[in-house]
Amino acid sequence: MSVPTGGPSDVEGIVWPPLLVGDSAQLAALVTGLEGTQWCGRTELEAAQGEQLGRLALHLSRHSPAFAARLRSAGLSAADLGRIDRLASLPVLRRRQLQDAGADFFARQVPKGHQPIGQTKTSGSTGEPVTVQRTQVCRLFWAACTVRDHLWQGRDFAGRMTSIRPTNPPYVELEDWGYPVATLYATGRAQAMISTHDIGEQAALIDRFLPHSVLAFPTNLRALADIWKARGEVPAGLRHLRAVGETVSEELRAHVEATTGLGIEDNYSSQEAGVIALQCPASGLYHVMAESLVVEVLDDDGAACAEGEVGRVVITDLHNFASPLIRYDIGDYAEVGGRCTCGRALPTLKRIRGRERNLLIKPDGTRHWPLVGFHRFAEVAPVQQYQVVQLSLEEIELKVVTAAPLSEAAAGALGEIVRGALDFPGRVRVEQLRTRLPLSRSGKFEEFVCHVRDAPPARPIP
Amino acid sequence: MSGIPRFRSGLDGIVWPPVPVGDAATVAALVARLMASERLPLAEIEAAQGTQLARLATHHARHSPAFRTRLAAARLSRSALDSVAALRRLPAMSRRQVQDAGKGFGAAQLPISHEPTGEVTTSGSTGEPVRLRKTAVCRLLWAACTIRDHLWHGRDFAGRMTSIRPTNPSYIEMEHWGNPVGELFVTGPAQAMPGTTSIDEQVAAIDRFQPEHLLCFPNNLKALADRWTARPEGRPASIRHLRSVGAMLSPDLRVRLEDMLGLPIEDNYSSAEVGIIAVQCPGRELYHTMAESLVVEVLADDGRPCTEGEVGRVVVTDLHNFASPMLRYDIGDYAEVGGPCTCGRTLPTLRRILGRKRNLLMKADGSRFLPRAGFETFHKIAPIQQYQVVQHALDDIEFKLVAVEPLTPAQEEAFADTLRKALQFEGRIRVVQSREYLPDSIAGKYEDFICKLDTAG
Repeated sequence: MSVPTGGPSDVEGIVWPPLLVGDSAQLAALVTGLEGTQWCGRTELEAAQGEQLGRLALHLSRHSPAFAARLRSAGLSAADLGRIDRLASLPVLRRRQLQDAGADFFARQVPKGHQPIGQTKTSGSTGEPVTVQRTQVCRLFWAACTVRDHLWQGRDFAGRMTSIRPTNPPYVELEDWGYPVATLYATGRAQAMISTHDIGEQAALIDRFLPHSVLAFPTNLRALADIWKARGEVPAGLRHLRAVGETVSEELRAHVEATTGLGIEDNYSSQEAGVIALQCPASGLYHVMAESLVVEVLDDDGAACAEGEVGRVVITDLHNFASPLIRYDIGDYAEVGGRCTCGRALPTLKRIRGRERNLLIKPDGTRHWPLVGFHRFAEVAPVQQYQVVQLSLEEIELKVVTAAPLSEAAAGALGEIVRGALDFPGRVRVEQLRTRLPLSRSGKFEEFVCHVRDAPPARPIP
Repeated sequence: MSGIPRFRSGLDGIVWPPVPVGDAATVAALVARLMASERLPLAEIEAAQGTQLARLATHHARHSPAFRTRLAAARLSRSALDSVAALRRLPAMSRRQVQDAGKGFGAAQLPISHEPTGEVTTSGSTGEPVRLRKTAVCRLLWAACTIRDHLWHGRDFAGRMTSIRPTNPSYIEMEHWGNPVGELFVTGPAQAMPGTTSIDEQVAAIDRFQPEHLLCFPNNLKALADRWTARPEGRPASIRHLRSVGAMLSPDLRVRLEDMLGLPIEDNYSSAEVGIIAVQCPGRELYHTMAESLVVEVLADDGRPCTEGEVGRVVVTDLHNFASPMLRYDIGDYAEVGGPCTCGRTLPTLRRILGRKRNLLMKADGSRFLPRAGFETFHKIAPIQQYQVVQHALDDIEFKLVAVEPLTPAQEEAFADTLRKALQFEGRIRVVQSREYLPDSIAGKYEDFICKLDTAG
């Protein structure tokens, strides 16, 4: 049931039906609103997006000097953006442009109901840190979309929840799931731990807590799945594996599902724009949060990609009245999806492909989504973890973590699997490790990283 | 699908998706909950009522001297009322008890989140005014149940709405429907006029405004229906919903109005003391009680709960009024208990709201029942504009008739015969003709049957 009949109440003495006031009431009302809008027809959806975008553009054109200049240089007025089909007339905003605009980027006035304003800094995979201001309204939409994710996946709020993230404290147990779910629902207990804990220790803590769902970065989920497979069972009562933070590769998804019998429920989000798309339980496609964002996928010529094509993800945050994130190139690649069988009209992405630095570059300049042949590694040796680093157009390094040293022949065989799977004409060098590979500063782990500099210009992705 | 139309946004610059703020957000969230709770298993609803009742009773036991006295008289502890079953151990409270308690009736303290309070005075059909305080929380529940009524009946908020009520101060046209709907949703314009507006003026104003929704008291609707059926163009074609409020809608009148106007009457049972008590289920005759806000009991004369099909006194407990202990309050109405509804909603039902004891016929053995006058056959005798039946004694009934043309003695006798058969009444029936519309009895309410025998309460 999407709307709880019990749950927390904000008014003293009233327990049923629960009465919510202030922010919690707004959140409940918005969640209810989203339950309706997800079934709107595409035309109605786009008309409503245009109506909201018109209001946003008018505000930002008055209060953000950088946005006013962007409009001027494109020969557009704020009113022109009141129709979604005119949005494409505005050139895309790159991270570098956002950095260069400095303080002029932000709105100098923000309506009172949108305050307080917070700052979000993203390190950026390309080493270009970006600061974005986000408002209370942005937070509200993030919360509503987070609750929507739970509702879509049918997670039982009465169950226990485990969260493993780089930003968590070392270890804590909590009475409830916290904001935003516990604001609206009576929930079970929660367990949170930092992702730097040894995987064996994580598994032991999960065994003790017996959660209904585990939320973690995909590579962390894979490591847990391997432990559970090795001992022959997943923790009793575990029903949901929730992925956040990193791109879920097809290989990883298939491996975890085959190992645990549980599908990965993924959530595509960013610091700048909040929840961008949620995986649909009906089809596996990712539904774009069209009530909060306009999400475009563009090819290298700036044209909209058609279903099945891969391009750059460009987002417009319809409710951020502090930072004009309008046609902002978020730096990810995604594949456009088709209509979902669930009946929701929210547009879809088929796959989230991650950053440009997660692409293989071939000597002719073409970029490829790397499939490294992980599923065949077990034919050669029990690999605990791996990472593929493209050092140059001619050289790739395969890092493998194994319990015992590999023979030269086994290492060579692994290298050949990767070379074949990638259809890479150069050399694959294998490096053996006995300890887990380190995470990046943000706690993320990338299975494929391209360090090639001065590569030929990008060409359409096959 | 949530089934709830688009809310009005209260945030500057945000039009879609709309985000209500303040009380509107609270009501919006509450409406969503009601749409879910109305389909819970009845046992779950009663368990939840018990949880809320325990909080309410504990509060009043601490802060209302009159309620403490009631508990003590019933030999109940301050924490005894923790379930709907336990509630039945508290004797029902009459209007007179509320009056007699005076200032000691209400709670001396109230949680700040329930403020502000307002005083409600009901005239009462027997001329016994009752005063009590209601809180901001009572208002939220009233607002949510009002919106639930609209949603159940699929009323289009974008349409135009006309309201005719005794409490409307003067003629006014507004850009929206007013609270609570206008607070939450984008609505069409509204027109409101006092119930004292002449019928000719009402007809003209409605013709001009062309509303989709018309809300008024049943007798007012009857007067309008008479005018509309007498003219070639009939009722305004724009009207899609006829809402009856404020007074009991007798089965006779409902049948007559639906026949005359070709639209179902959407009725709602409410009182000043406790707000909306029950809402008619769309397309069905049953009324669902607002179980999230009230415990509604129907009790036989010996105090036992009536079963399906039985008629008894309506006793209500307002689960959220922390200012006035309206626990097991005998509201003075009679109702017939209904069975499960085919709509799938699990909220308990009333089949008929019979009104006050004074609106029930008393038989020689002292039992009472809801009289049916046989109105549907009156037109075979002569065209009648209005009627009223007054029982003066067990064997004496006065039958007041407002006819289009003076009635002949034979017609008078035919009317008396029709009534005698319909009521299965063996005493005397005196037909009294009138040229003028009969006056409203109380608070703009017209009663088509009045029993003047022992009608206290």
